[in-house]
Amino acid sequence: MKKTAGNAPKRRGQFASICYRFSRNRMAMLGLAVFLAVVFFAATAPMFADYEADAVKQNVYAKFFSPGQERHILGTDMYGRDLFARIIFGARLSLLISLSTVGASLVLGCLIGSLCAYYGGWLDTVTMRIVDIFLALPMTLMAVTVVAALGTSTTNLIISLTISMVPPFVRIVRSAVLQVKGSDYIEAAVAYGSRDMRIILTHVLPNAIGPIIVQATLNLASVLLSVAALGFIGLGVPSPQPEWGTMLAESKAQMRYYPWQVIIPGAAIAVTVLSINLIGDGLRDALDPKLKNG
Amino acid sequence: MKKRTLARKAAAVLLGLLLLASMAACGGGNSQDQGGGGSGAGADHSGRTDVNYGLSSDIASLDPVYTTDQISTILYRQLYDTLIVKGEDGTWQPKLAESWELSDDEMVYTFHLRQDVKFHDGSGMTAEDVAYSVNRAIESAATGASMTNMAECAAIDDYTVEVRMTQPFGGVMEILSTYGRVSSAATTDYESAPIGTGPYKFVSRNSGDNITLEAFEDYYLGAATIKNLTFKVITDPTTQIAALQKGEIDFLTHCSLSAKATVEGDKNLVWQETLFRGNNWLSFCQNKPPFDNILARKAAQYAIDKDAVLVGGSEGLGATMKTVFPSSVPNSPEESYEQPYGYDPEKAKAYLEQYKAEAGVDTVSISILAPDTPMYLYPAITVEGMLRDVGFDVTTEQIDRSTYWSSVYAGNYQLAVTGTSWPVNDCDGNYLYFYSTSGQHYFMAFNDELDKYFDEGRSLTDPAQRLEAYTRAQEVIDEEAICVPLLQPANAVAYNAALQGVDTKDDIYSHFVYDWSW
Repeated sequence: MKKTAGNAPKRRGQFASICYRFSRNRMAMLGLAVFLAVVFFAATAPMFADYEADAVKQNVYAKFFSPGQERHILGTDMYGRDLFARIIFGARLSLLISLSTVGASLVLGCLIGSLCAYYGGWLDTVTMRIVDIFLALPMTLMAVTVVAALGTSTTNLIISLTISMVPPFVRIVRSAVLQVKGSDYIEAAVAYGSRDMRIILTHVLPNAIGPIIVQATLNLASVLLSVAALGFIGLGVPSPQPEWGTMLAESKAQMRYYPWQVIIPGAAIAVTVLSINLIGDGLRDALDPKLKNG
Repeated sequence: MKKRTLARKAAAVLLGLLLLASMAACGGGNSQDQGGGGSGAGADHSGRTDVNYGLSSDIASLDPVYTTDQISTILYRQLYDTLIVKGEDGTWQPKLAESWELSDDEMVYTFHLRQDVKFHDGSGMTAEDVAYSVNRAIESAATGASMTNMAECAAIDDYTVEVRMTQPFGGVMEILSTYGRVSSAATTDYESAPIGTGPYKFVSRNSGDNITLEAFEDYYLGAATIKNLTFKVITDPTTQIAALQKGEIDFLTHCSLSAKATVEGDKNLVWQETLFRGNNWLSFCQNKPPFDNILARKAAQYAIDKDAVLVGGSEGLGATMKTVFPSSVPNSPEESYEQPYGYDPEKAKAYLEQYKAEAGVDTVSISILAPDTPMYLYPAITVEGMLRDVGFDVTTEQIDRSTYWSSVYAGNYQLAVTGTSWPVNDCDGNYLYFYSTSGQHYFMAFNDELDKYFDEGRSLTDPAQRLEAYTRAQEVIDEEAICVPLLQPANAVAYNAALQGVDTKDDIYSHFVYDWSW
């Protein structure tokens, strides 16, 4: 068989071709590599450091160590806690909060969005007007309000971010479902006598999943940033749990004298958010039907 | 299309790295541009008659009895005078009052006023103005509670006033030297046109940004050398030091303690540290578990390493405290007191085990409430680490300042680092927090014996007896483990080395620009 790249592409399954297109995108692969590294450190954090002994145990006489000083790879913070341990346990917390927020809002968003689109009518109108109202409020403001009302804790943070994250998902899912709703295979399923729930779950959602996944990935980055922002203004997780935004806020006053105190958590946030955004961009390109097998 | 986005992404990454690098360069490079004589702090200042005074936050008001706020107090000092002032030897010296006497029953203080004092509007100061000002302070919501036992101030003739008491009190002169600020009875608006007798008069205020004053030419002691005094509000600690090094401000109050090395390394600047006129303590709220039980309170008492709190909470600058009365306050038992508790983690663990057994719990989860103010936040987090070390399951909840204080005053907390400042330098100041029926008794301890000693301290006038009463009060506080006295933090100011006449001994509220020159 002659090599005819582009003109007569090999036939691949849908998933495989998406993977192929994604793997051809170098920036996206870089993002994926960095993100996997972050996930690796977050998942195996206890292998590198002990939570109680390194990340939260204070030693005020060993504060503001420079990176590398006395076995502290990234130095120590203003209470003498190991910065590297705090960064990797912070990654755990940041990823846990962002992933559970995105997960929860994805499930809720899919459910509400697909029901609205599938059934339409007054349910759709009422829900979408409520969504409009929520979308009119900036996400961070919304989260600040909820956290201020409920108090600072990891659960409250997830709840508040989920509340502000659901409406955009509802909207994305609804429009994606509307697009596939009129397709022949859906009508076939209806004619076949499938129950509504089965149609939605096995036919509608899998075919509308592309834009939803892209949106979820990009939202992961913005939730991560929101967590850091809330932590920065003092509405994050309570001390002594390490969280990147809180660490940034704690060291803000020392910026002039111990710049790495700010640079380290700042870089952690920037790199992680950037890598997720690169993955999101890559996924969008890979899922774009116009670029099929490109 | 694809190529372009790729190039753009690469550019974005590069830019981000550049930003980081430049930040690092800023941080590390500040030592190189110091000491340059051409501009900023190193310039020739002789002949200057203006001072730019950096404030770490905006003032609350120009009304002398509106607030006890620390920053506003600095401004009041330049605008308003008091009847008397404390001399370097600790005795009372005349200021607006030339002389005074106290009646035998200690119920009436009579002050004879100077007759040559003028207000900023040109009118002469009379007894009417003084009586009006003192009565305003007695009635004020902010200062009224501190005007202990004072009934009223009355004008006897044009230049004589009487301060009448409901009961004798030993700290009257202290109070009058702080809150007895004299303003004109003809003042119509304290915010836009305050009228005092101080060496500086008000020109303009740009809320949140600056306050401009100018020397009062008819000041009764002669006009000030510094003619134009501008207060600039700079809230960010990093910007404050940069402004000082660039010469945008000449004097900075409430300087961040971590700036010490930077300021001391700059030969054009002077770093000056004094003890804060205030102190903090770790408060237990006794209206809920676990601190309704003295065993839990004692466990916490033994868990606290005060020297480490000083390092973690105040950069090691300041002093640790044995009592809730700083030694700078007259009749304080601080110097002579023997504290029953020391840092002993083993004892702390033993008390905690005892508590767990008695209360039938496996873990003791507590939350420390802390505001965003470094003075309370840093010690709170340091204390959190210590309590964690002995086995408490501790978190610190950080909330905004106003919610923090309202929660504390409502008894809606478990553990908090709180404290007090001493605008009136008298041990009776703590009556407000420790007396059962006072409005701010947030310990929920309601101890009759403690009340008795605070009552004694208030009614006695003999210094030795008052010292005895406050020593007993501190003993009750320790016996019942009501709070853990922590620190008297340091306060620092930094200023241009060319500035002359800056007070080097007293605390940072005493700075009087009238004494300064270039």
